[in-house]
Amino acid sequence: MSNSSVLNEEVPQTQPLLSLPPSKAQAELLKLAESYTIREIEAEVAKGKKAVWGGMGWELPLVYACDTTPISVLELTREDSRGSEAIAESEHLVPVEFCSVVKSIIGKLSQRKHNDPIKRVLWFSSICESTNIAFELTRKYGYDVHSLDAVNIYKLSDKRPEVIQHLVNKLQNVAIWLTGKPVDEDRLRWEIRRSNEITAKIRRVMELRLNNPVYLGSFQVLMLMMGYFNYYGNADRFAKILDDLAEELEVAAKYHDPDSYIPLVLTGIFLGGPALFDVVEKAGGSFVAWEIFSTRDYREDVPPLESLAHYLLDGQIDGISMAGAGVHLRKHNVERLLEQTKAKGIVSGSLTLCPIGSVAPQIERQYFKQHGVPYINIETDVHPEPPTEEQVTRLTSFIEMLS
Amino acid sequence: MDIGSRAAKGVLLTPDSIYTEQVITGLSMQKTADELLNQLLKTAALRRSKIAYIVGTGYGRISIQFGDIPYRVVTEITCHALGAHALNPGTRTIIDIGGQDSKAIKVDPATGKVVEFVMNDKCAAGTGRFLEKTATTLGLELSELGDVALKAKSPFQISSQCVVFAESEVISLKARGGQENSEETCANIAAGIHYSTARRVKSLLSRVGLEPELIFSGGVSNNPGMWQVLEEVLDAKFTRVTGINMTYAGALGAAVDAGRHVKPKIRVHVRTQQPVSIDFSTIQKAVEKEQTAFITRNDGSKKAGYICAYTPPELLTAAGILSVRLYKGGDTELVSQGELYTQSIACDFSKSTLGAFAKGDPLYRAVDKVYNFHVCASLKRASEVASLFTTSELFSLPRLRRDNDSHEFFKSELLAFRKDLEELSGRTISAEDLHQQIVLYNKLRRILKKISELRKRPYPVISGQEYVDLVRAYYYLPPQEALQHYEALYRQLRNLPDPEQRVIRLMLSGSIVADGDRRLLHLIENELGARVVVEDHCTGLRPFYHTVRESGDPFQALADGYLDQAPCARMKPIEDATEFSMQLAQEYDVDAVIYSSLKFCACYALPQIRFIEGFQELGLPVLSISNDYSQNDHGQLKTRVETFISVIQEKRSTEHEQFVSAE
Repeated sequence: MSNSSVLNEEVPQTQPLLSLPPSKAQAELLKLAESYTIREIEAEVAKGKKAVWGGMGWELPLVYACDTTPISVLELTREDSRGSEAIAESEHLVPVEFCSVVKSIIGKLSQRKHNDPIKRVLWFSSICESTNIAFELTRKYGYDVHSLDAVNIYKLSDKRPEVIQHLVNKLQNVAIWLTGKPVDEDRLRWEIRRSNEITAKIRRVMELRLNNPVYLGSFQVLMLMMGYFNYYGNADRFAKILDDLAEELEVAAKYHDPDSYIPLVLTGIFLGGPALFDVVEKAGGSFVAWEIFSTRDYREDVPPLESLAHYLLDGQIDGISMAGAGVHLRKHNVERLLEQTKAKGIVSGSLTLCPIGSVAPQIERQYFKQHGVPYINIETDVHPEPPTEEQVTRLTSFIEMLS
Repeated sequence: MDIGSRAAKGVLLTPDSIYTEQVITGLSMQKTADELLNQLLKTAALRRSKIAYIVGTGYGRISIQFGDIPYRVVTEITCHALGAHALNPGTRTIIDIGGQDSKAIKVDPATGKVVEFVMNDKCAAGTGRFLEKTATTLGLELSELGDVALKAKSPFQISSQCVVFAESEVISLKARGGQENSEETCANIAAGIHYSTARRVKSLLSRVGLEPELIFSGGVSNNPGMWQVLEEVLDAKFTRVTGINMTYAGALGAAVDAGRHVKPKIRVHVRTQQPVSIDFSTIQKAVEKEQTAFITRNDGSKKAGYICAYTPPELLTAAGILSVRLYKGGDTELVSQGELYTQSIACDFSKSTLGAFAKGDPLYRAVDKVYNFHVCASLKRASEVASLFTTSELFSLPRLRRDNDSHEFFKSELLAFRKDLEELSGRTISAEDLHQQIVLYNKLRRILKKISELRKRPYPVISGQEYVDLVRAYYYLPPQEALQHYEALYRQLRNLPDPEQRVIRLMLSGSIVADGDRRLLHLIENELGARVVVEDHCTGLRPFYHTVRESGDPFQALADGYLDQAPCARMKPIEDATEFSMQLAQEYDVDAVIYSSLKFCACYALPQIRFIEGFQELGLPVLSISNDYSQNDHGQLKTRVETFISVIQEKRSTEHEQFVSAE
């Protein structure tokens, strides 16, 4: 894909933003994301390809090195999530007070149990207790659930050689579970290099985006980051989109109007689709930094399984919540992001009824209040429904307050 | 008389007529009952002295008295079953939706007795209150809501989680609907609420199963919208009962029960007394004394607290550190303090732990350091937040208990724990030190298991409350002192006479029972006369069921012993936890199981279906309770447990002589 027409233009600094042509790279990203569906992957599985539910984390290069396509468990929440929830509650006695992710997963896998060609689940068990138990329950539906029983560390001195070795053993077990044999280290090394190359491209896109965050909307960034977990099943195409986006952003930088938006840091995530991101942007806000995603490289100076182990543990020390970071560490990561981006406020997205995710906002609210940084927490769920009036009012008022 | 939360219903049976009356439930239950009785007498043109017997039911049943008329209370679940059976003898399943609760009841069509039931917990979703709240928000009378719902063309999706959330959703939907479509919007919202309620009821019903003939009773049964939506959601038809409004089903059942008592052959459960009482106060006094000493001791000794039963006190003692398990709970004040850090959506135990630190509980504040081998993510978070108040150190605990490398890794974590303890205490922990402590703690585990086994007798010599109170000594006293107390106590207990008399024997399985959380045990044992003879939770028998190997490398033995202990449901595979629970139930020959999970407890509330299925496989009735530390739902909890115990009694009455006739 090319956007040379954009690149060749000489654009005066004062030209209004609207005169930029529609982004071809973003359209291509949308197309790629839309092609990464359960149905598409099922079709691939029917042709003999291996797939696994999971694909949300740091172990991704290993899954690809085992010739397996990872599919995010969040895909299970896309269709009829309300119906899935109802099944979880009524047929599997899941109490109502559990979150929509857990209920949707249990309900959907229970519905799919007789005809799901993807009967394997790989789950990193160090983050959410409810999801761990949810997958334990799905074993009764015939799912082969492999739990990556990882560890949590809170300071650098916890990163002991035995901890690394434990993780290496666990990762090797994943490879054996997926392929019946230990991982091909050369292949894994290659996957790590590929991941690092893509990470470098994402870093570049995010740096360039700081010069015009309005050009690449927040929901599009979310799509980009989600692709980072699985490349939407096509790493080459994803990498090309990132290059094209970077080129477009270089042009878009010339249209930068720093007064046209309020820069914000997003901690956690908004689930349920683009609606809340739209609310933020309509109110004049823009997420310029995302706490939940790490853009750290995998180390290439150590054996490849060990590299994955370091990646996880370093992510925890960095305070990345997706890595299972401790509740006090995340705020330091957010502080770094605030410094890097000069964001004016913090919006935290937490999952309604998530006892694990609800603690960090409580801690951070107090902490950032003391430091004079405005902070708001918005709860969301997986249901792709319009935002509630309460969410709209709170978000809009928060951004108005920062204007 | 069925004294409900919104209305009090009365049915008066005479040899040739049935009279019904209804009054609004006031603040005083007694005044409400008196008013209702007067109305009934007026309608039937009878004098008060003609009333032979009154049975009271409904949530207000407990506080009523009639000095001049024989009176007894029966739960509304039993009464709804009797009432529905009287009206339609083929009834097998009842859905009862009242003002503050909803129930699914399975009935024996031959007798009208309850076979199985499920009742909502105190959450108002799925109850008449839920509908009433919506009607108010929509500016409708409650009686109009069902008819309005029937006009809906495209019902809105409403969260089925909570009446509070639903109210905010309704306000959002109203705002979105706009003025021009207000009637249609109103109908769609009303229908959405009906569907949401119906889904909750379906969830309840799925636990007892739906067998025709299905009866709909309670105040909400008058709502035509709910009638239609429930039939659609359940894919079933209700049996229509004529002759009486089904709002009166509970009161009718009470009247039927009263009729059985007119010829006074009353079956009364004999509350058995423990033949010889043992004084447990010595050990409890020792615990209180030691707690005070722990708080006030200021001689340079290091003091540590730990939260989870997977933290081995052997190492703490070997380091010369005084230690206590931090497991206080049951106090709503502590819960609300904890919510400052967790919001309301964590289990009450996690919140209490944080609340105790935040409030400055002297025991919690006395510790120099908190350690936790974290089991569940909630307690992991609580331990992390505890570092706001004291230093804390967390270690990883592998979940995959059957993997060899989990055992190796856990040993490495224990070695890291040892290093930290050595730094805290300034004392080296040798293998020999640890070995001695393993031997000592094994003695404690063995004696606690032996004491527990005395509960296998037909009449257990120690109650469930007494057992969990004894366990406090393990967690609060120095081990040698605890051992002396336990040994002395065991000698007394084992020599007690062994009466043949058999009580209702229950197992309590599920989430942690905190130190201070005795409400359920008190209800079961003190108010309802049954006995908890064994526990599968981490502050009862479970941690003492196995011992730690006393040979070889003591660190590896400790790792193996703790990972292989009777498992918490957090450990994988979950079958290890469910099978252990089933094994205990059989070993202690229980009549039934009460499965009590704390609200928001992922480890026990979420997988409850696996436990319930396991107990049912053994033919054991199970009552699942979603619990917390609040004190204001005692009546509702009592209704459920009382009905459950009466179902077990009925079941057993044909096999055992549990009841005697009495005036």
